[in-house]
Formats: sequence, structure tokens, C-alpha cells
Amino acid sequence: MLLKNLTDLNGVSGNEDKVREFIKEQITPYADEITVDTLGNIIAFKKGTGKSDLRIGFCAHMDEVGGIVSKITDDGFIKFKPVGGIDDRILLSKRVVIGDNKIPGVIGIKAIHLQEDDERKKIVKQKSMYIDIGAKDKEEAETVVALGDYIAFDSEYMEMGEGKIKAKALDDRVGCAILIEAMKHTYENDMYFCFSTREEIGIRGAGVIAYRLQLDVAFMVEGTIEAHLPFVKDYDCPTFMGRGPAVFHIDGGSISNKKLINYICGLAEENGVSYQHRQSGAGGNDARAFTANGGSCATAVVAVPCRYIHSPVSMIDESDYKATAELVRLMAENSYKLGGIL
Amino acid sequence: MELLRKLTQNFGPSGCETALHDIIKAEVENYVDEVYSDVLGNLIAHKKGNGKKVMVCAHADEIGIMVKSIDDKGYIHFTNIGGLGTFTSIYQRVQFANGTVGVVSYEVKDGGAKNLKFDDLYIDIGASSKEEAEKLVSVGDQAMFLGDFAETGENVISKAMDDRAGVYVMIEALKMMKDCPNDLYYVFTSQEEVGLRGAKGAAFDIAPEYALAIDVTDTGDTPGCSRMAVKLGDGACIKVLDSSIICSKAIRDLLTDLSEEKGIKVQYEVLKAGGTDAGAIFATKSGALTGGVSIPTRYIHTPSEMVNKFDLKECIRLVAAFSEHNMEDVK
Amino acid sequence: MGISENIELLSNLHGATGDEYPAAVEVKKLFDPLCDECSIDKMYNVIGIKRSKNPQGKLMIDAHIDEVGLMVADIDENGFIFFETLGGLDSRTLLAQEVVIHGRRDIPGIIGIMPVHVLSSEEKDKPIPRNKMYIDTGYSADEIKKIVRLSDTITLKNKTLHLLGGRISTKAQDDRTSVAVIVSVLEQLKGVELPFDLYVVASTQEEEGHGGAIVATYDIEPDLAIAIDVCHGKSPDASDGVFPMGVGTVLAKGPNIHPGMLRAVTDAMDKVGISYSFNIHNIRTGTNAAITQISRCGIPSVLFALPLRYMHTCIETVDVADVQATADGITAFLKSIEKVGDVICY
Repeated sequence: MLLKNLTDLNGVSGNEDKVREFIKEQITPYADEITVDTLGNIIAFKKGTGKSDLRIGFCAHMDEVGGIVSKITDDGFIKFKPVGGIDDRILLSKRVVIGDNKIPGVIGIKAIHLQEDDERKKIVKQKSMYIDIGAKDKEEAETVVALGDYIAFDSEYMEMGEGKIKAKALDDRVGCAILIEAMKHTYENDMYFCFSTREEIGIRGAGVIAYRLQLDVAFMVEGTIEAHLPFVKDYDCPTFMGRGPAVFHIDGGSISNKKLINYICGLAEENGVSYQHRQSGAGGNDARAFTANGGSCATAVVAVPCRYIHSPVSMIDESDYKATAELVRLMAENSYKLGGIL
Repeated sequence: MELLRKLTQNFGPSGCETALHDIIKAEVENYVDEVYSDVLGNLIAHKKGNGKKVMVCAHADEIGIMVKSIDDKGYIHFTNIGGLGTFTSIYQRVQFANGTVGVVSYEVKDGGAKNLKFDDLYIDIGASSKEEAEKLVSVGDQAMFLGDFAETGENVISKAMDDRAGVYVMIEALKMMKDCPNDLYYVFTSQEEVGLRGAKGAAFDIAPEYALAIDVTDTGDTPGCSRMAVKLGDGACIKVLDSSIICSKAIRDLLTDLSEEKGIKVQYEVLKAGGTDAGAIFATKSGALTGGVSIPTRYIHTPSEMVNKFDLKECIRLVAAFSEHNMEDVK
Repeated sequence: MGISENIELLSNLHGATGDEYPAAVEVKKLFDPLCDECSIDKMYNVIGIKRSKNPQGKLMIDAHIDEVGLMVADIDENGFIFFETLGGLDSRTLLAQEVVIHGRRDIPGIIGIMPVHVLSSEEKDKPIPRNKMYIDTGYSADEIKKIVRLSDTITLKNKTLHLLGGRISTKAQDDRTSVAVIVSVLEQLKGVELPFDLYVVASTQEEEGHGGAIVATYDIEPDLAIAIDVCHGKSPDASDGVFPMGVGTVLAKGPNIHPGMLRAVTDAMDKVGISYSFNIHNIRTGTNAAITQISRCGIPSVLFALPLRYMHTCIETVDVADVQATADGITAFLKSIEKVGDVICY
């Protein structure tokens, strides 16, 4: 259960060590060379069986949203700052683990009975939240928690409903899982498989990968917003669960290369892989870094639709995961043709 | 429908239910062993049996108004009896027990008709002075809202469907019923709209082991209404909960089983809004396994409450089936 | 089993208000070996009796076994479940909350939330109203309707966390942890002859109108009643009406409480050196003590409360030391009673 193993690991941006170790171990048999750079990115080189016209790479990010300990109060409560974009409203009453020793804690809120009417009508801002680890005072808390410790959601991988998977960090461990699977195949073209860090705090890791590799073509494999939900109009849904990989046209940081989009959609159609066009320009991903730091790098993004993204209970459809993996494999397999296409 | 017309159009705000007793008594007395009323204004029809003590009830009272004071110009100031909105009261007609009719209007305040309180409303009975008004109406008199009875296709509109439709369902269920192994009390309760008061007293006196309250419930099938799974015309509602009770699982299951057995179309009512007599009964004395059958009704607590004939029929069949069921096996 | 194990065991039961039977069956198993008689009544109250050889009367201890939860109210065309609440839940704690739906079989669900990307800036800064929340089970409408029907109850998914210093965070501690108190009291009374019949009641429907306790008290007709419930533990966002954790049990004081009986309780606790603090209620308490006090001809009642943080969420937190102190306090009181009549003098 690759995806279970990956999502059960904690790797909040800046603290991806556990995920990195796991991925390195998984890909070592399939890589010709593995580099870990100073930001903790993994760059795995896989030699092609033929001649390579272009420098081609795939990238998924290892990190996930979470928090970081910013203060321990005199009465032993943990104050924290968010790491990555989290809707404040989902945090109340959630379970978390702090630091490498996974100290359990809960994000408390005073009981409904103690709230004034007007308080109930307001959202609680993250700044005023605290984590309770049961410590009676600061001294006791400091025996197990230190400033700067990373905080992850406490949420286990679970299969549910009709072929659905619930876990934290599906954004973007699902991309990591797909790349690991893709590396098990052989390709004609040389290929770089990259696992980046710090995507969630402003796409920090991928930039140095882009600078180092100077790729001609970079494909991102992501988990992306899904909103096929009550009260959301169909035309407002960025993607739809169960309809296959979402092909990006634009996002907050990049515009996908039109020829690459045609290449990807063409492959999907030829091979009977269902796919969808992402109907949104929101969000950002590592593609931005490749266009900015990679010279004339053409980028494209494919993603698994992911519901309740950036929450402890994100959800994907296993069929989308499998279809995206298949599409990524096809993209790598046929990439020797890209020289002619671009 | 003639009986339903008679019941809904009759006068009977909370506290004045005895005005209905003759009509109900005439309908039920041939089907039960005794009919009597109590000091709270409940009318009790007792069908004797050797089995378990079962109480079935619907409330006879309706929402209305009560006169607080009469001003020098003959306008009547009033308070609400039961859950009434100022918005739905304006420009409606009301009628007192003696037949006097008036219209409800309001004093213009900043903000127009929004945020009106009952203190801002008055009734105009056409009197030109306090003296003239007092010949017709006194402080403490109650009035009902007027709302004609109309049939429109499969639906029926009238005032006081809440809960004369329930009274009607009980009367018809009594007539439909064949053998009844239970010691059965059909109670037409009083003062439901002001806090389930009649049923509480009746339940204390009768001390049933099983109870069923028949009342109206909202629907979720009109434009822009709150979400609710109940639809007009989709059959009898088995009450699951309201703000006064979480119905006994044993009774809910019994009603479901009976509906399957008899091919009665049912739906489930899950909305924690409003209370019913069921809430007053279930924890009285040693408690009773209590449930509810509800009649889907649009525009509740207005003079234009709408119910559906098919729903009424299914409610009657379900209530009759419940009453006939030997309760020995219900735990 | 120790008190911590019992807290964990009890919190893992599911019994949303009105649907307590599965929990009642398990609670009965805890009471059975410690009582002379034990039964479940029609309200699903679990009532255990420890008989006296020469009973001067009856003393009843109540804790409620229902928990706050949700109920399936509607299923939409895409299989999303809309719900009604059972008990007072802060809907702001429900977003991204995992739940268990007790349908024909138990299935997991998630209370969904729209991604901020599709919300207006105005919507982002407001709590999501409860009627706009829904549960996602991952099933289509056709499939979910085979498993779940309207009226099925839903509980918050549980995971018991053992925090520092013997503190436990888990759901339904309001009020099942008080049931753990009762079990501890019964264990401490093993082989002890009391001058009264002791009735222990794990009552139902407290969160929606106290129905279980109303009926149980009426049927038992006790001479004295002790209710055990929770009060609010101190947390950084709450300073009024809260009690420190880990410094002992909390006794209610005020018009809902019988002064003579309370004096007997504090005398007994003082004698054996168990500390307590007072929670002053100027009106009726929101607990079953408010029910027992006015049942039938009136019953002298006291209320023990456990300081608990984050009431009515899935992370309710107590300090085990307080739970133990409550059990010890009640035990000391019960052992101190020589004549039931003495206790109820003003």
C-alpha cells in the first residue's frame, strides 16, 4: 500500500525527512543516480534506453500543510503558526501530532455553553487557537515539545464508500506515489524524477531543481481542488471526482504549454484513459518554479482531483489515482516524440 | 371532506376547545365505550380493552389571539395565542366566538412592516368608540383567524389544519378500526399551541404505556424553503424527532413495519423544529414508548394551511393499524 | 480494570441521544458483576441495584450514557447526507470532522467543506451555517440509500488520546466518564454493607430533555439522589465558569442542591481528606440533578461534576485524577451514612 505508507508519514513543509527517506528507499532500485540537494529535494535520474533529444522531468512535491510550534504558554498550551494554506475554520477540535516523537495534542475550543451568541457567529482565527497536550504548565510541556517543532494532522489512511480514499496529505503524496510507480518502467528518453520540498509555503523547493536541471520539458503531477459538492454550481467546479486526471490550462503561477496539453490529451484519447480539463485558474504549483528558473522550460500539469484538500480528511477516487498513474506512464513512455512536437 | 371542513372552520383557539367537543363526540361516540372531557378541556374517547394502555392524541386547539385592551377609538390591542408571526397576521381577518369579525392592521413605524411586534398590531372591528367595541368584545376574549376551506385538486386548504386534520385522521381511524386488543384512549387534547399542556395532564391521568401523537409537519418542497425530506403527497410521516422528543425506536420501527405490511406509503420526518404532544407524554410518570404520525402541511400557522388528501388517507390507515396492533410484543 | 481503561472503553461505545441501546448493553456488562440486579428499561436506562440487608431507603446515583451526535435528515441526489443535531454542538467544530454513520452497518463519513477557492471573500470569513453542512461517505445516492436511511444516528469518530500527566482526550466523556466513576464506586463498595439499597443508573436522553432520568427517578422513587456530570475545565479561551483541571472534584451549590445532603457530603470528604471546589448555580443546574430534585414529592439531590475541557466535541479532555477523586468522594459519602434520615435534615 504505497499511498497508505506515504500519507501516514508526516512531512510538513521544511520537515520532509521521513517522506524523503521512504521515497529514496522505494526508488533506489529503479534510479541510476539519486541526488538530494540542500533544500532536501530528491532528484532521481533514470537513463533511457535510446537517444534523448530533450531534457525531460517529472515533479511531485513531498511536503504537506501543517503547523509549527511558535510559543509555549505559562499554563502549558502550545501556540502555533500555520505552514501552508489552511482554512482556519477546519482546525477546531482536530487532533494533531507534534514533532518527531508524535506527541498527541488537540486544538481546543471552549464549550458552546461558554460562548456568547455573537461569538458563535464569528469564525475563530488561527492566531487565537491553541493546542492542548495535557501539560499542566510550561515546564511540563517543554519536556516533550520545543519551539519550531512541526505539527501534523492526526488522520489515518482509510478506504471508504465506492472506491474512495481518505487521508491527510493526499496533496501531493498521490503525485509522489504516481512518480514512484512510473519509475518502475523503462523509457526510451532519459528522465528526471523529482520530489520537491516546501511547495506549500510558496513553491520554494522546485526552483532550485529547475535551476540545477535546466529541463526542456517539466511535467507536474499534483493533487488538485475538487468541489463537486452541494451548493457549488457545476461551472464553478475546478474538477470532478471520478472523471480521471485533470489537465491544467492555467493556474496562479503558470500557463501550461499548449503543445504539451495536446500531447497529453492525445495520449489519453488514444489509450482510452478518461481525463478532464481543469475548469479553474486558482491555486499554484511547482510549474511556476520551472517556468521561472528553467530557461525555456515548457511545463504542463496533470492532477488527481482531491476533495477537502489541505485538510486532515482529503479524499480521492482510486480510479482517478490509477488513471492518472496510467497517463503519467504514457507521458513518459512517449516522451521521445516530444522533440518533434515542440 | 365535509367533516374536515366542519372541523377546521369551527372556532377553537387554545383554551376554547370545548366548542369542538360536540362535533367530535357526535362522530366518535358510536365507536367507543365512553366519551368524557376533563378539566383542562381534553376530550377523551375510551375504547376499553384488556390489553396494554395506549393513548393516541391530536390537539383540538388552534392558534389565535386574545384581547389585551380596547382603546378609546374602539381599536382592539391583543396578544398572540400560540406561535404566531406578526408578518402572517397583518390584514388577516379574525373572528370571535360570538361571530364578531375584525381585521388586523399595524401602526406604521420606522422600517415599515419589518420587525413589527404584536404591540404594534391592532384589530379593527369597525367600532367607532370603546363603548361600541365593548358591546361586542371584552378583554380576555379570544379570536381565531379566518381562512376558508377550499379544495384544489388533490390538496385542501384551510385555517386550523393544525391540528384539526389530526383530529379528522383520528376520527376516521376510529371508524376504520376493527378489532382492538388494546385499552385504547383517543384523546383530543387542549392547549397544545401554548405548550403541550392538555396532553401532559391527560397522560398523567391515563398513564399510558404506549402513545402516538398525530400532528402536522412542515414540508421541504416549496420554492426556496428550508431543506427537509418531507413532500406533500408522498404519504404519512413517521415522526423521528422534533424539538420536544426523540421518538421511541420501538414505535418508529412498529410504524415502519405496519406500513410495509399494509402497503401504506410513508416518509420520515426529521426536523428539530416545533414540538408536539408526543413530547409531553413520553416522560410522564413511568414514561410511555411514544411516537408520532404527522400530516405533511404547507404554510403552517397561517390561515392557509395546505394538506393532501392522499396523505390524509395514508395517515388514517397508519393510525388505525397502530391502534389495532397488539402492543404486547412492542418493547 | 482501572478508571482510564474504563473511560476509553466507554467513550468508544456509540450512543447518540435516543439511540443508546448498544451502549446500554455494554454498560450493563460493567454493572452486572458489581450489582445484585441489573436491567435495561424501556428508555434504555441501565439500572443496577446493590441490595442492603436492612435497607432504610434507596439512594440513586445517576450518570448519563447518551452523547451528542447527529441524525440523518436527508440524502441528496448525489448521495450527500444532510443532518440534524442531537444535543448542543458547536457547528464550527464540525468541519472536516470524521463521523460514523450507524446505518444498516457502520460506515465512515466526512463532514465536507467547500474549498475556499469557490467561496466569496465574505463567505470565507463566516462560519458555515449548519444547514449548509453535509456528510460525504464516498457513496452514490443509490448505494448510500441501501445502507443509510433517514433517522439513523451519527456519532463523532473517536480516537482516545492519552495526553501528558494522565489526561485523556476522547469523545463522549460527557457523561460516560461519570459512568466510569460509578463503576469505581461500586468496586470500592465490594463487600461493604450499606444501610440503604443503592441504585446506579446510567440514564439516557439527557442531552435532549433528560427523558431517561425523568422516568428512572419516577420508577425508582429514591430517598436520596446523586447526579454525576461534567463541568467546564479551564482553557486559555475561557475564564468564567471554569474549573482548574487536576485539583479535584466539583460540587454544585445553590437552590438545586439539598443543603443538608451537601453538608453530609462535604463532612464525609473532609474527614478522609478529599479536596473539592464549589460551583455555584443560582438557578437549576443543566444536569439530571435538576430532574431528581423535583421528581414525585421531591428528592434531596447533590451534584458531583468532573472538570472537562472542550465539551460536546470529539476531543473532550479530563484529568484522571479528578475522575478518581470524584469516585473516592462519593464512596466516602456513601460509607459515612449511618441513618438515611440524618442526611436530609436541613
